[in-house]
Amino acid sequence: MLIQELREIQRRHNGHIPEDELHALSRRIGRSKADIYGVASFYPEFRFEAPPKLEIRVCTALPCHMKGSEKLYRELWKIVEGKEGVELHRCPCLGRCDGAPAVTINENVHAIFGAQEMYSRCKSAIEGQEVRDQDFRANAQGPFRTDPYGAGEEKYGTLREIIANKNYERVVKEIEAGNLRGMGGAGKPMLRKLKQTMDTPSDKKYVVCNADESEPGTLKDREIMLNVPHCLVEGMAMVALTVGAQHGYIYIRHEYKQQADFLRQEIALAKRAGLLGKNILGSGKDFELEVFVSPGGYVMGEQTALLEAIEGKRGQPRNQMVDMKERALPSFQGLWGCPTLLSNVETWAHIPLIVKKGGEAYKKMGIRGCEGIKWASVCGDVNKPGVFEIPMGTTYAEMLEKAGGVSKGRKLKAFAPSGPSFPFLPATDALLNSALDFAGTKGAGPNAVIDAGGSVGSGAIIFLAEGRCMLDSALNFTRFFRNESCGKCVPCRVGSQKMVDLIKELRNGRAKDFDYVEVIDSLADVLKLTSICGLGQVVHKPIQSVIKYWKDEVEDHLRRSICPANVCFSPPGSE
Amino acid sequence: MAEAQKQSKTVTLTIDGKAVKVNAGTSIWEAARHATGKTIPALCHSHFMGLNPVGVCRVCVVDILNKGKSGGNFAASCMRECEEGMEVLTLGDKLEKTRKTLLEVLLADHKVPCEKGKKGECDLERMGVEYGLLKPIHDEKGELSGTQWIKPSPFSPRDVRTVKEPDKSNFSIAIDHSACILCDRCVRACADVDNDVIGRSGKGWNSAIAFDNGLQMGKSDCVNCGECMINCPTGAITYSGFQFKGLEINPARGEKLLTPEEMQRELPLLSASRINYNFLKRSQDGVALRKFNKGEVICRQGQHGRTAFFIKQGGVTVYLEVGQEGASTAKQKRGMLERLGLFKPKSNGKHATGGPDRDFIPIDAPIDLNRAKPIAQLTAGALFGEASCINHQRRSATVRANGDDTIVIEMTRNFLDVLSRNRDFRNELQRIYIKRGVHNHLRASNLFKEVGDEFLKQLAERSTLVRFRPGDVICRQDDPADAFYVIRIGHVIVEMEQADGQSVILRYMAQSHSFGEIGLLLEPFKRSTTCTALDDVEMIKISKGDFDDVMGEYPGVREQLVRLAKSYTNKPMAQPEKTISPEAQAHREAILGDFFMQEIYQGQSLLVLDLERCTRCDECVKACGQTHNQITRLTRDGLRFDKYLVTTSCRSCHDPKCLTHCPVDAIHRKEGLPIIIENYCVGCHACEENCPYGNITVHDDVHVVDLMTGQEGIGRRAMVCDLDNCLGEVEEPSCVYACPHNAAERIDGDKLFERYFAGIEKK
Repeated sequence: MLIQELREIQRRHNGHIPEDELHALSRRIGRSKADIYGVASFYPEFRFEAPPKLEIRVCTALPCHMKGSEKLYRELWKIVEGKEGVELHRCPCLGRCDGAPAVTINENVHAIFGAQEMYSRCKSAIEGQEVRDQDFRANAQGPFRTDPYGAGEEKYGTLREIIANKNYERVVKEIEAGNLRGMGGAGKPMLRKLKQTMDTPSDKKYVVCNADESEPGTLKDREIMLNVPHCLVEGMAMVALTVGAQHGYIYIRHEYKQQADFLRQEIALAKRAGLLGKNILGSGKDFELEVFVSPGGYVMGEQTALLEAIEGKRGQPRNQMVDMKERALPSFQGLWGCPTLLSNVETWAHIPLIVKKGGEAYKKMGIRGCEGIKWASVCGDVNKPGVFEIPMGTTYAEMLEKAGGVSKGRKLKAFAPSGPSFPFLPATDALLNSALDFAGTKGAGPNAVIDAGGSVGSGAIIFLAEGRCMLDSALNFTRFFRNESCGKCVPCRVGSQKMVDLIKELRNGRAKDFDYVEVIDSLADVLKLTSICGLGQVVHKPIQSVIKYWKDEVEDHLRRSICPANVCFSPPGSE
Repeated sequence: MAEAQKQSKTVTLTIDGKAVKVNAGTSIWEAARHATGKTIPALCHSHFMGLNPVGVCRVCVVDILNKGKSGGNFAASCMRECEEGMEVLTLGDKLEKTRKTLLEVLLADHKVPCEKGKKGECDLERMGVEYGLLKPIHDEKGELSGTQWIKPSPFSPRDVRTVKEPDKSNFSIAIDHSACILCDRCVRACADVDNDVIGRSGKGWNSAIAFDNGLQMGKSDCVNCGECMINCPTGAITYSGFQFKGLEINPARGEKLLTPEEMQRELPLLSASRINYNFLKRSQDGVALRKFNKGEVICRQGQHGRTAFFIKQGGVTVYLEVGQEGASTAKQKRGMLERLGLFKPKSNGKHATGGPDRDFIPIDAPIDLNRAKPIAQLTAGALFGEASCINHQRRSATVRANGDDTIVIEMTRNFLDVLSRNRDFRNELQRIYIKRGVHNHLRASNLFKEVGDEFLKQLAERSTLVRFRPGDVICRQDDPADAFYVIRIGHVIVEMEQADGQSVILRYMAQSHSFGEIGLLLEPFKRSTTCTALDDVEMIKISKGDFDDVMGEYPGVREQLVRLAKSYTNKPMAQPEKTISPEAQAHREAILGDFFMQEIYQGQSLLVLDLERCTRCDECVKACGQTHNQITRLTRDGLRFDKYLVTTSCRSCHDPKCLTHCPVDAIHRKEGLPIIIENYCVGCHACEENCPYGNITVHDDVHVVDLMTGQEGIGRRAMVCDLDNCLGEVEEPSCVYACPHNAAERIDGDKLFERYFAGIEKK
């Protein structure tokens, strides 16, 4: 396990990997230096020079950007510049959009809702004062319907029942009846990949939980792991025994230290109760579960990139060797070549509920003809950003209300139904009153958001109030994709750069010599049609939706140098 | 997809409306090439390379239709496997527009023209021209000098801060990151030759190729093999002009080395293989133009060689020379029949001096004929001599010029290797190799020595080349004898089961030996022995059915052959001695076991020390060191073979494993037996790792004289014993010469075998 080896070396050497250790590792594990260096230099966790005394990273993803993170960065730069032993960087989403702007001070995340407060905290750190690590509490408020066990009721009861009755069929049956979907954002039926993993013959199989939640605005898994970790562990164990997997990984982003600790504790508890490990409750089946902390990077949320990372390679998504429209890639090209069932935290966590209460009952938890429940987060220009467990079918307007309405009493201008992977939509009544749902639900009525190319996705709703610059927002999202592209395939690596450049030229009024709509459309086609993975395939969505719904605003920038929010023509943009 | 299913099944699909049937597991890219004859454009994958596809440039995308309509996201055809009933579109407006935009964004980041683009060699720029983005430009002399944009692109170039500085730290290879498109070809090529120096580093738009742990190329473990440069499609990795040492020429005879431009002009093979200019420039000394007069020998049968020849002008005659001795250093092997006492070698005892006038010329075949027999005429445009480059064996025929002013282009093994990266060329080469190999060896076999050409030609066409892995049983005792074999490469062990059920090793057979001929002619006949492959064996096989078919057309030949075959069977087959004592028998078996286990039969010049005489004085090792600049090429260590110590010193194998995979063709045989490592060895360890006996050592930090520059310095070189050449005037090598106790000797594995075998038999 290369990642663990590198981490251990870095720990021993005060936060960096010295050259001779890398050479020694190369000899020990029989992988070339170039190979190991390629892996280590891919992940932000590893460095080859000793770290500075103080490293501050400011999150610049849209929710933090809206709360003034760019200004925070620039103000901090003024006091950091020239100071020995202090480094200041911008960084991608830290998963603390509800406390925006978020920063890390020496690897510890701070998010206290307000740029001014954050500035003073960072300033005291730079001045050499000790800054206490921030203690985060769970944001979501229970009781949660995801947890099927009432107070005093024994956790893992459903798992015990299934093992006692050897009734693994029930797990498959209820998941089918409940029409459980992949809650990571794609919304594909869980049953399909479960069956494909179950039916692919192999001595070794794996189940993997994707807890690498790194998309701007997405916070739900953070709260699930904090509030109902036992549901996740039970769900994974139940399905592992059903499909015949002996080993499981929970791949978690490294900023979620608290969540990783919670999960480790939960796994230890389950193990002590004989619910994990060898010969579980005398069933003759083994299942080991471990937490794998990600060495960093949004693209690791792509399922095959995540598998590559566990295997100790560069986290680059795998090519599809065969048609995958009706197939789940990891079931065929999984971890170390073995069939692997990979799903999101929330998908796994819903399973005990579905199996205990029955698929039909789960389905009925949804409203407006939608099925089941959903965890979703709301951030941006709202009074009380946070994470909520809601019935599927709740409308965007209702979500806004839950989050305390638009902040400072402003009017709503736009919203992103789910982070940067879906288009920006205007705040019309028809769209706001649409239900949160995946495309293709049978009993549900018409849905304007889905018709407009949106989806409940990973449940990351970002509201934008009147006065926000849409072009600037699209630039922010596109830049996020560019920075987080793994660089494997040309369309994503080069295309995302070119898209950022084009948006910058629109914003700065320079793209006048050509038909920008046509150029962006042709680049969008390249990204959408030829990129290997989902990251490259959605880079164009923010800017294309802004051109579609807010063309006047784009034209204002380009032809008249006018920005509605007055952010675009201030000092030269950030990188 | 089960593996077994993939291998056996074929699938049918349509590509651009054309039905294609391919083996399951074939990529769409491959299938399309065969179906339409056109290659789907690609940057990271190429027909020229033997590397596995990675699907990163995405230029080769195709549309996999869904019920006749576009299937949404395109698939990389180099990666995606063909499936039953698939409908694939490789052309069309949408696909072409997508490819064009993809090329345009890449070109926006590319320095137009790049180093290779100036010669029209950059694949990216070439495609840019094809897709109407760039146009070629010419200098004042009208020569191509590069490309330029037809109209400015809306895409701005890459932020210079994300581009690494050019790396010129390596003496023969230059890196220009600004021209790199991260196709991973160099990474794969470097891994393919087991150097593993290049990798992809960083992430996203900061990704770049890197050497070892991000070092400068000149400071990395790079051995300058040039594979990365050969495979690079753009000007990112180019040749910096350093001259390697290659073929020797004699300008007085009008010989000269070809420049890259001349190679492109003179060698039509190149245009098909699309070898890049940088490689040609680097190979400048590996391709020579030579002139020959009538009757002059271009290459001689029985000699070792590392070059192939392409006829530019005139014609040549290929002779199969037969005889028992001659000018070459090739050592003669006695044939199986002869060893069994059935066939006496004819020897005139004279030591011929060589030259075009000789009547008797050597061959490693078991028979004599009294004159050289022309077997083929080759004319301009033909390639010959390729077999020795492929199988590292001796030349199997002699080639002479037909008339004055015959011009041939000689090229080194490595040059041919690189040409062979093109699969069409490789297949053609294999076809020629098999065809010629079969014919030459059939002619050399006892049975067919006097039959007519036409008959042999027919037979050759029915023959197949078969290969066996070590330990494979070729034929079993008491099985019907249904095929005839000629050993082309490798060794075969012959065993006979005795009445008591014990199996006794009778013999082993090496190259050019044949067996099974009697069974073809006299039926019913059962195999009298079991034959097993000792190492990698390549044989020509003629099955009885095929033989009978050809025979039907030539009834006269049958009689002639039957008579010959009967003359063999009338004589008693040799049987192992049955009167030897159990102890002697055990000894014999132990020796046989060691002989095969230690692969002593492979050696043609083993350095053995008679331990009954050796006093361990180490004079042999010291002498070797003294002769070779204080670096000994032998150690007095190794396995024991009875009373002999087989030292760690080059054995000069029949099938030298060390010769494969040298990236710079620094290790080879010239005309003689010794394995020679040239001074331009790059110290990559390939030969060291390939030698099964540990007889090659790469020395780091040794004092070397660089013959290229004449400079003395510290360098890394592989070193190997150069056999009897080391003392010049004295015929013995220094190790043998220095031994004060007459304990050291250089001996052929065969001779060593016979020393024992004969001894036991006498008892």
